[in-house]
Formats: sequence, structure tokens, C-alpha cells
Amino acid sequence: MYSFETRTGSISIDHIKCESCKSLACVKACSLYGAGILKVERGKPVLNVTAEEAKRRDTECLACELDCHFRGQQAIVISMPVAGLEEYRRVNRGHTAD
Amino acid sequence: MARLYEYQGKKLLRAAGVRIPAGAVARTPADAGKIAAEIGKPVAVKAQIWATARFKAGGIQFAATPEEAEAVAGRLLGAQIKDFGVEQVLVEEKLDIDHEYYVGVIVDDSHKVRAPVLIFAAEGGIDLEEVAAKSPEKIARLTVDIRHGVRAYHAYNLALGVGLGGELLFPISRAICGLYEVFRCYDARSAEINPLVLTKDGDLYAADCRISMDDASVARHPELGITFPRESDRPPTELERLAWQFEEQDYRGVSFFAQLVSDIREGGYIGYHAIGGGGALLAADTLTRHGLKLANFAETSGNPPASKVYRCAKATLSQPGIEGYCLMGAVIASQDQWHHAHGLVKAFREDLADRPGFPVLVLLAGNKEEESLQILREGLQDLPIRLEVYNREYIHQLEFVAARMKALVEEYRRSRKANTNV
Repeated sequence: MYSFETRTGSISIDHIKCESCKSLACVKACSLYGAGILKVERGKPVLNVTAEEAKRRDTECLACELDCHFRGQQAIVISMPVAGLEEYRRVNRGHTAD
Repeated sequence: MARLYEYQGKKLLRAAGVRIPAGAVARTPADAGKIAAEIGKPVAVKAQIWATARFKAGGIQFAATPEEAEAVAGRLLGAQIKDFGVEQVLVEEKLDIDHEYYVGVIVDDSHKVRAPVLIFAAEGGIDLEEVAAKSPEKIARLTVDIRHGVRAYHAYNLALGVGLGGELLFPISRAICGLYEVFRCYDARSAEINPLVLTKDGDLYAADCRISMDDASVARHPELGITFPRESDRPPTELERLAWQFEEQDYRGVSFFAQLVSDIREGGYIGYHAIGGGGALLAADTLTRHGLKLANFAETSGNPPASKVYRCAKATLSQPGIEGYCLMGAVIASQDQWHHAHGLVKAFREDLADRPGFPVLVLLAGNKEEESLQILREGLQDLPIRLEVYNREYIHQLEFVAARMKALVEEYRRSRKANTNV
């Protein structure tokens, strides 16, 4: 799994899934909506800056995950946690309306 | 505005030269008894909560002995007064009151003033509005020139303005100047001593105080230990505290989350998320006029990243019992709305896949509007929700949009009821 940190979260890319991807929609999305920190290298999306630079420059536009889902191989998972929120939901018995 | 507790405010006032009653904070009844013994006089035991009219609510009680103080503290600590849990009490000497005055500073942000205004009243211990209504001649005001601050002669003039004089002028001036110093040094939005008590011995004390900080200045005063800089008539809920984390730690754009109802026990509540303060309130009014109840109030603006919008949406969706989600971007925003679209889509995809029929209404207008609406439509196309998306043509048709939200919620409720009956 290829992963890197953003300012407040992290992005993981399953490069095995990327092997069959023809669109590389994530890189296009990053360029259009975000900071353009992804490039294609040997057919897979990778950072075109250092990990440290990515953490500073990434704008957390979340676009790569969605575009990968609809136009790619569903290889990207973005984690933007809110500390304690999952526990809050568990204690409050899920989140469905009564 | 973040509020200080009475004991915190008094500590600042004392450092600024204002006389305050001898006393200390206790968190256990035993400590309250010890403090009372050290004071060696009858004491007042005062619940430390952000509520007014504490005496009438039973939050201030008197004790003649340390044993009584311990017993009183035992009753107050852990009690609920005006929705606040009492976790600490201030035990301080009981004053032998001869007269009560009022002194306060507020920021008057009307365009004609835009400065602090000092107010001194010859009657204290009651609401200033009450004094103003009954005896306006007992109130004196001074607009402060912040370049020069408040000098002793300003304070003298205030006291003279309400008919005071003689030996009182100096201690009153000290209290007024001290209060203004606290106000200025701690970036307060408002500060007041009420009552400023003249004892039968002729001494002047700040018997109670209320100080509210400017939220934006809290970071400059870590020594005050304020963890949730927002004025409210109740303590923050757990969900508000969780949401505060990303407000506090992420300076990009603005996000705000308030839980309006802590425990939903009836139907018709929705999660409410808006863009832009004025439009947010306008749209909220329209929704409530149509009979919808807002469980919470979230707001994201100032060009926030999608991650911040996502987190705000997650907090909004986390409130148990809501029966719909309404995003009202009732303004043509000068921010790229596709960040809102991406944030919402991620939150909805994670949280609404297992809520079939859940109503979602999004009104979004501004930069990259068409692209943003397309992101929403595509990103939510495979979710089993009741989705309606509106563009800029509807920002002046809020009545229609609110009616649609109401209809979606009612439809959802009917379908759930039918499913339950089956």
C-alpha cells in the first residue's frame, strides 16, 4: 500500500489495483481540484514532491478518492479522522433516527 | 465569547488592584470547610457556573461556621443549577453590605462608536437595564479612546456624574481603572463588576464579576485555561467538544458546529449545515417556519478545504435522531464550491449508505457551481437516499426549498412508519 500523510489526515493508494487502471483519474483530479502533487510513474500514481512537502502542500480536496471510485479502480482511501467521533457514535447507539 | 468563571475573573481583578473578598475555590466539601476556617468569618459559598441570578437559583448560600460551609458545599457540588453541573464553589468572606454599585465595560461595535464604553451606575446588584429604566440619572457612560485608555480623572468624572463624591472617589476610581485594565489586557468583549459593594466599614469590594473574552484572543492567553471559547448558556455537549477540535486546529476557512438539542425524543428534527452566516440564519428561519426542527447548526465558509466540510458534515450526521440533512448555501459564495461538494459526498457516502430513504437537500451556489452540482449528483447517484439538489436560481426561493425539505422529511417518516408496521 502506497500512503502518505496530509495536513490533518492520510491517503492510501492500493497500487495493486492501480495496475489495471487505464484512466489515472486520481492524478487528473489532483491537478484540477487540488495542489497537483501526484504524477504517474510506471503506470501508477505517486507523489511528485517529498512526503514532507506533500503534507504541507496537499489541500485535502478529497477529489482523488471520488474520481478513483467512479473512473478508476477504487484504489484510494482517504482518512480524515475526528478523534473520538467513532466512540461517540458507538456509545450513542449508532446514528439512525428513532 | 468565552466566559471566565467568577473566581478566574476575580483573580485578574485582584492583580489589577481591585479589592476582592478573601476566599478560594473548593472542589470538595472538606476543602470548603478548610477555606471557611482560614477566613475565620461567616462566608458565602458560590457555585462557579456561567449563569446569572445564581442567588435566586440557590447557587449562592451563606454559612456562619466552617461546618456549615462544608455542608452547604456538599449540597452545591454535584448539583444541577440552570442546566449547569456544579463542579467547584468559591468560598469567600460574607460582606456586610451598605450599598451596591455597578461598573462595566462593553465593546460598542456600532459604526458611530467602535470603541469600549465604560458604564458606572450608582445602583448595582440588579440588572443594569432595570436601573436604566427606573433611574437613568444614576447611570454615567464614557466612550474610551483606546489610544489613551482610562485615567483616574475619567473614573472620577463617572462617579461624579451620578452624584457621588468625597472619600469614595478614590476606591471607585481604582475599581473602574482596574476593571478597564483587565478588559484591555485580556482582550475582553465585556467585563463587569456587579455588585461593586461598599461595606459598612467603608471598604469597596468587587463582590461578583462577569468577564467574556473575544474568542479570537483566547489563543493569546493560554494561562486562562479556556478549552472551549464560545459563550453559551450551557456547557458544551460532547459532540460540540469533538467538533471543536477541527475548528480549533485547522485555520483554513471557517467551521462552526452547535448542537441545539441534546436529546431528540420526537420526530421532525434535521441536521442543518449552512454556508455564510447571514444566509444561514435566514434559511434556518425559513426552515423552522415550515415546521422543521433544527437539531444542530453547522456552518462552513471562508473557502474551507473539503476535509473541513467533510468533518463538519460528519459531526452533523452524528447526532442521533435526525431525519434529514439540509445544506443551505443561500448565498452566491465567492469560494470554489466543489470543495463543499467533495466534502459532502465523502461524508454522505460513508454515513448514508445504510439509511435508505434518508432525505438530503443541498442548495449550492457560487464559483464552480455547475461542476459542484455535477460532483454531488454523480457522487451520490448510487446511494439509496432522497436527494434534491438546487442551484443559484433558488437562493431567493427559500420558501420553496424549505417546503421541499419538509415534504422529504414527512415522506421519509411515513415510509419508515409503514416499514415498521409491516
